Amino acid sequence: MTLQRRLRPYYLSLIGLVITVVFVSPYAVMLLDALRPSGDVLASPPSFLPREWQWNTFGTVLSDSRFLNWLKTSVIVAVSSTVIVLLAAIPAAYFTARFRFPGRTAFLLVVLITQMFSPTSLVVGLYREFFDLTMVNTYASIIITNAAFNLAFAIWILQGFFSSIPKDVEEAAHLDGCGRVRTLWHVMLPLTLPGLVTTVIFTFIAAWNEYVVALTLMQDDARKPLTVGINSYVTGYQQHWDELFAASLIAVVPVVILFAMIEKHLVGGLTAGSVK
Amino acid sequence: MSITSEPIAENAADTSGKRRRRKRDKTIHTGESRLAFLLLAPTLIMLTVIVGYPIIKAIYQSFLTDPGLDSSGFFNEGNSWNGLANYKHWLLQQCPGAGGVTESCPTGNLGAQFWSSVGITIGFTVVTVLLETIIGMCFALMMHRAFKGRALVRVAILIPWAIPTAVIAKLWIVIFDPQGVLNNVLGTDFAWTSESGPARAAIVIADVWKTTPFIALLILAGLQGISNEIYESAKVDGANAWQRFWRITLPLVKPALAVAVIFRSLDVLRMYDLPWILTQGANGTTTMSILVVRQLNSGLNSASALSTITFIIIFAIALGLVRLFNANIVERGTR
Repeated sequence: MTLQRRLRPYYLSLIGLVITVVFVSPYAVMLLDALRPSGDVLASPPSFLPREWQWNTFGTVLSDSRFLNWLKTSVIVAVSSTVIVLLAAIPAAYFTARFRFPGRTAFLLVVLITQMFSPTSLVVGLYREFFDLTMVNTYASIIITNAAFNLAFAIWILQGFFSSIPKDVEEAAHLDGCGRVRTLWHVMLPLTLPGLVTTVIFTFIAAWNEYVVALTLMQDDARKPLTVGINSYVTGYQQHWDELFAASLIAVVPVVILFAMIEKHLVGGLTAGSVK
Repeated sequence: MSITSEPIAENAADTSGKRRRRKRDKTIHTGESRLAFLLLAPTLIMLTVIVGYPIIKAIYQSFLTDPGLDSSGFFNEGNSWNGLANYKHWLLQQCPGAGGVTESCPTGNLGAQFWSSVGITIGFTVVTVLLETIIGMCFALMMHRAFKGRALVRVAILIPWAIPTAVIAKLWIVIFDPQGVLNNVLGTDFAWTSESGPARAAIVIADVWKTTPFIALLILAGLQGISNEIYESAKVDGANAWQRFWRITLPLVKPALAVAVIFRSLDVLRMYDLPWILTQGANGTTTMSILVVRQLNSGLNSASALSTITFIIIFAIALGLVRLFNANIVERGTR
């Protein structure tokens, strides 16, 4: 029993290592493909290691002003969309979690409908709408679109977290003289931190990865986000697989930084101890 | 912590506490509609303007004709009222024939692929969501435990999901290429994407690899709400690990799990980019969304009808899923 208990952390670490390798291995493929000349990527016969190492791919991509523009757009769009989603979803989720009102279930389902139309069938209407508003080719158009389509997930997940907090906590804060807003800010939000972290990660990644809407609404090459921009590395006319994969690997970095920063808040017994 | 002590004080002064609470409920009630407006307005405005408009536009267009040659051979500018003809085209495979009569669509016509695409899409959804839920649950339970290198594992499994599908699909092309990495590693000589079985398997593998972390992280976040005391007391009562999982863990992560499964299902039901880039929908991988994209090139209004039908199918499945999870997410919190 004691031996088993002493061994447990190690076998979990071992399984963890295996999982890490499985999930990271396609990146190894990507890295190796970034470090070989493009013609070698699909060459026959295939070779696992590059036949010829090409070390400057990352330098080439990072000094490419087009790439830096795409990166800038992606950061602006993902950050702004995430902030807007939080600002709109927190109040809505709090209200649906705490109040029984007519149309509550209908509200949650209406929110969910945004996830039921294939985006490809909506972009035509969206383009027309933003064209009429003369907002095609603006950051605002894709920021607001990303925010609107990610509200559903944020509201559903936060709603679940808010309603899992006992009402007593809130009532206690209320009796202490906290107003609704202060209760929400100082008591409820810290308690739903895992939910908030989840929402931030999910929204950021969804906005970071969005493709169809950006492809339609952003015609100006300098304002394209990464997802759209990097496709020009491999087209019918030119095939820069090396640069495509180098750019894709660089594109993961901001997400990893964000996650590394907030990951520790995802885990932790936060509700423990607030109410006995 | 005054928060912990106050409810006790309230219990001690039970009657006055009750009165106070009732009074406050009333004030909440009168101010509720104003509060509701303030709190829900940002969401509702955004949804109406950004999502509502294109949806209603698409539904309206689904009842119009597409430009093209009409049944008597004249060019028709389109956008005239067409009734349910677009819907009949997809649901009943009716195509306009010679002399104004409708006939069943010839094979190879996009309309004839509708029902098979529904089956393929639902098949993908069931297989991938089931795999992702089971694997994701295992990952979440594991990451919930403390062990050396846990933070690293968490970041590692997040990465696949942080890469755009458009890019990852290109990577899978390289991996699944007959001359590619997978055959190289396995020592096989397999045409992964040119037969329906392997092509579907390739799509499922790529999707599971990419989005299992989504479910794992959601379940992990859900696990945070469960206090250790419940497990301890269950252990004292003699519950084994399996019983603790079924009786405690599963019911308590159900809200998070429900959100994960519902959103993932809706995602796979609309899946487009992964099969499009890997197989262009060939070899039995044409999903409903791919059919919509194909139809967009030959007629926007008919494509709108198809996406409306797709929406109705997805809506029905979503309702079913909400029911399946016992409306847990919807009913909670109003106890």
